[in-house]
Amino acid sequence: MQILKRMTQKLQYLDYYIFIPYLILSGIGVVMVYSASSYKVQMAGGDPTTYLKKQLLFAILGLMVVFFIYAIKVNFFKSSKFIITFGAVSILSLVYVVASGKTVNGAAGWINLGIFNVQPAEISKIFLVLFMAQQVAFRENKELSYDSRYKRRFIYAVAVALPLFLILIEPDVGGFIINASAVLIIILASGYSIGITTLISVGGMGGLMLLLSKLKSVSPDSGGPLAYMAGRFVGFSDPFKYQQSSGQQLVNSYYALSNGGIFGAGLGNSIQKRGYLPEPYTDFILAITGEELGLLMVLFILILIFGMIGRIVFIGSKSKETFHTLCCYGIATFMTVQTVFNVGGISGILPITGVTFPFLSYGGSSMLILSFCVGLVLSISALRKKDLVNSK
Amino acid sequence: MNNQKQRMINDMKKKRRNRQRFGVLLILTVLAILLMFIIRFSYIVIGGKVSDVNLSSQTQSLYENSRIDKASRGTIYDDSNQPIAEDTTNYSVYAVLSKTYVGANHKPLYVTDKRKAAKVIGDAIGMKENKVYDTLNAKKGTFQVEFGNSGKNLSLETKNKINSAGLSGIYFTKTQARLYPNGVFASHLIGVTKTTEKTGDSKLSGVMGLELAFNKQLSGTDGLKEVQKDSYGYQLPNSKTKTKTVENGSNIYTTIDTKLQTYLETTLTQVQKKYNPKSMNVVVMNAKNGKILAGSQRPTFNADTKSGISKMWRNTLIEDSYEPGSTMKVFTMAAAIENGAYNENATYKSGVLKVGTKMVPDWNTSGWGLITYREGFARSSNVGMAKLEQIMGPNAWLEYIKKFGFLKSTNLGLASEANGSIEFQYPIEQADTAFGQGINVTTMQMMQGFTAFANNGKMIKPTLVDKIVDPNTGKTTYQAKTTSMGQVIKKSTSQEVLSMMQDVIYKDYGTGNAFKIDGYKLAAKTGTAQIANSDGTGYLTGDANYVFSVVGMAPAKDPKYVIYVTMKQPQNMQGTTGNDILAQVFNPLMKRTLEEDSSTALSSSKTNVMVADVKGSKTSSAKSTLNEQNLDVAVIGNGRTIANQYPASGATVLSGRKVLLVTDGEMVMPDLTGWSKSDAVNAAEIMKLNITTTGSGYVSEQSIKANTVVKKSTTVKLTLK
Repeated sequence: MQILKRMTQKLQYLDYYIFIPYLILSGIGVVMVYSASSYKVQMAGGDPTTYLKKQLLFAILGLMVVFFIYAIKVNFFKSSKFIITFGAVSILSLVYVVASGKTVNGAAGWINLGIFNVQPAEISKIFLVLFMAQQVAFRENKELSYDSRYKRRFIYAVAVALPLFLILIEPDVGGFIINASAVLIIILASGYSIGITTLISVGGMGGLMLLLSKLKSVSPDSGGPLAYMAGRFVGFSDPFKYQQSSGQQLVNSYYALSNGGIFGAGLGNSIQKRGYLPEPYTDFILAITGEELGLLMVLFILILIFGMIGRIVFIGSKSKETFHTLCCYGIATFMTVQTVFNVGGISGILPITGVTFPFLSYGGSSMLILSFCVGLVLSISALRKKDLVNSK
Repeated sequence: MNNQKQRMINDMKKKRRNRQRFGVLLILTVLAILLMFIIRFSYIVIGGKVSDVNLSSQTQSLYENSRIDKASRGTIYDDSNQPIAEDTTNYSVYAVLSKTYVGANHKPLYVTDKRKAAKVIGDAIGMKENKVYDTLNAKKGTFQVEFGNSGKNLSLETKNKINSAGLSGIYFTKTQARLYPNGVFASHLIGVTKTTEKTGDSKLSGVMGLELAFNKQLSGTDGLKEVQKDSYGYQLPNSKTKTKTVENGSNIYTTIDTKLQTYLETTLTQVQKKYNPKSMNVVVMNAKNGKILAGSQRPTFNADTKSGISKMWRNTLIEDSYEPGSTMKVFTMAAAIENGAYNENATYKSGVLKVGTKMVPDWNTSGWGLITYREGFARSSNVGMAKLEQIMGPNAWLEYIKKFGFLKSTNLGLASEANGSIEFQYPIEQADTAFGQGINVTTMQMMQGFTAFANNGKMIKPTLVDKIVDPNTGKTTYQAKTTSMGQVIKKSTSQEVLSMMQDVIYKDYGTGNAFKIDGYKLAAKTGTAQIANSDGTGYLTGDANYVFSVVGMAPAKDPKYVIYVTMKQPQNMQGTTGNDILAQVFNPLMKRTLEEDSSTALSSSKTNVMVADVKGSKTSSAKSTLNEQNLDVAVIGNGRTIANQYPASGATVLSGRKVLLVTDGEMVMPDLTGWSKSDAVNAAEIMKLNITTTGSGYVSEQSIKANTVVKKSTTVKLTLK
């Protein structure tokens, strides 16, 4: 009852710059998942509304998660009890998928929970962001003894490095980069001057370039996780040459965008979803959206998602609480990286990494995790708004 | 302490400021990324090109499934519109083994019952059940299997047989094939096709005979159908289609008379088997219009199975030239009469003639004393002909050789027709040509020359193709006409030669007594040509080393039919003569030819026939059964089996009588044109139609068009003339 009351009170501080894009994106997601999946499912002899029903359920569940998280005080997520529990679940599930070694599309990392598959790498995103933000905020407020500082730092380092390591050896390069970049950004944002952060960023970019150029020299046929990545990379660098193999997805993504033109072929009229694009309702949903609803809709979606991310950063930067700021930055970072990897993949700027598009792509765990983040950010925003109202 | 606290607060403030600045940096980065994506997407969509690949044209070719609408190859017909060569579809069977091949609701589309499949397929294609079963148990991961040559070129019947077993996972691919239902049947004239594979598309093209010569007309042009498809190959709903209509190949109607041709082939095969000559050539021609009614050669091949085709590719009727020997004397005599060199009262010393230092011998070198040239012709005297040539002079003779169409192709329309050649430099060579040595001719040139005697001196060009009809428009694109090659000799000359040719058969001393046919008067000339040694050192010796030949025309007074038979080197003479062997081909063939034509047939030749029972048998076999009885068959309806016949089986009728066969299925109005009134009335009765007639004689008009479906008790009005 108390929660409900608090929520209704809090609702007046709801940040529509985040909530409205969230609703629109989820809505487009439900429609496009249906459109992109129905033909393939029907061809396989299934019920064409299978994925529509599931995604609709995820969207509704997601909305419930948003309000549930929104109703909880932000400080609850800062509590060590919550973070440790969350971290334990996150690491254990990662250990589980690494140990069981199930592989989907060349990458492991799913736990089947019946109604949907959970990707532990998704859960760890939240854990890492909350944990990092909490640690930085904690250190700022307390003067620690030398000994305990090192002891904490060790635990801190292990708690961050372990999940990252597990994700990397799954292997889930996309997930690793998303998680790692959130950690990196939080470290950079912890208070260093802009000069240092820029230096580190440039260094990081250089390292990434080095990794990519190294992948180029690996034969895609040599086997092993590195070869899988290399295949993706070769397909990206010259997709038309490898359009029968590793370049096939990108080439077909181009075809989809080209077919759609500026205004689209009309909802339901995608040809590429009819067997040409292998993952029309997950990784390539934006390409199908482009084909059916056109370039303008794609740009609209991009503006919505990046606008939302920008708003999250903005809320973070305006917040007086270090924990709040860093949470927002972390969430904004992994949403950005996820979006960039997905959109970059389908538009040929980056290799295809198998990362889904936030809110649009089919998937339960992704939707619920994102909703958790949206709820948290809304909650932080509400606090700031309340402060603004009170200070007037 | 306060100081420290203050420092901490300052520190925190500084950190907060840094974080805020960092936030600005983040927002700028996000905006930059957004801008980059906007540009990238616009570039892809609006530019339509990525790394110089035109995306829209790429997708066009990806989705558009151009389906070739194959033109069917034209049919080659005989002179009564029965197919000699026609298109058919063959099937190859394959089985899908992969368990991933499932349809809607996980219905298996692969082979589920391998035991049953092995049995059904093995039975149908004539392969051991165990072997089929082994094939069906191919190593893991095999998607589909075929069954070798046994599983290929299957007929529709075999396909239906396999299909009726209701097996899952068994599929067929279609291939265009050519059907030659008659087997050995003017094989080199009609020719054969071969299948050329071109990027997954098979096409038939002619490689011999009419199939080759008229390949372009027979082939037609393939149509094109473009449809949009998904990646599984299904057509997309509401997708545009582009089409180019298919132009089927033209049908060729030949002058071949199936009854005569079949008879000829059977006879030739028997003789070939018995006496084993190195080669034989026969042509039956209607000399009035030049139409080739039958023509064949030995060795030949079976067009259906292709057996024997590798031994003989040449059409020896037109591609081989040879020294004709004494049959040439027909032309020598005609030229001499025309030239005035021939004097019916003049005589000469037969036996041997000295020409320069060389000799021209008669086959009987002691000769028959002083004889007239006419007798010399009937005795096939070389000396007589050589003397006539000397009287004419070589130039006049050579002129006639050319006039009769030798030394140049008859342009029958087939490929590689030979021109022939002559050795005509020295007097002995010139003399030799008068009795058919030292000149090389083709069978078809001889046939063309013979027509001059059947048409009062006018020579007619041989024809094999009567007309070509474009099935797309129904228009006749080519119609053969009787082509005159000019008045080669006078009418009186041709009459006189014909009369001499009768002597060959009917005078005691004639060389062609073996070719008498009871009831018919014939004109003929025999030939026994020497065969030049392949090393050019004169001629082969020995009883069998000749080209035996006979040309016969009938009726002798005004010939309509010419039959020319040549036989080279019978390997097994069995103590008989060349003429006797030739007569075993010539006589029955000429008799059959004359009997088939009501204008030449002897009425007495009609015999009583007991009509066979064909009820319930297949339409085609019923027809051939009754044809063999020399009955005229008219089929009513388009069904596959015979439901009724008239007259009923066991009835005794005269040969040539019309027998009506009614098939199962819909009743279709036959073309009654030319029928007698009684036949028409019988037809109406058996079809349960009412009939009214006006006029008398034969049917000239019918109120219900041929080939329309008619119901019982419909009234048909017939006009007789």
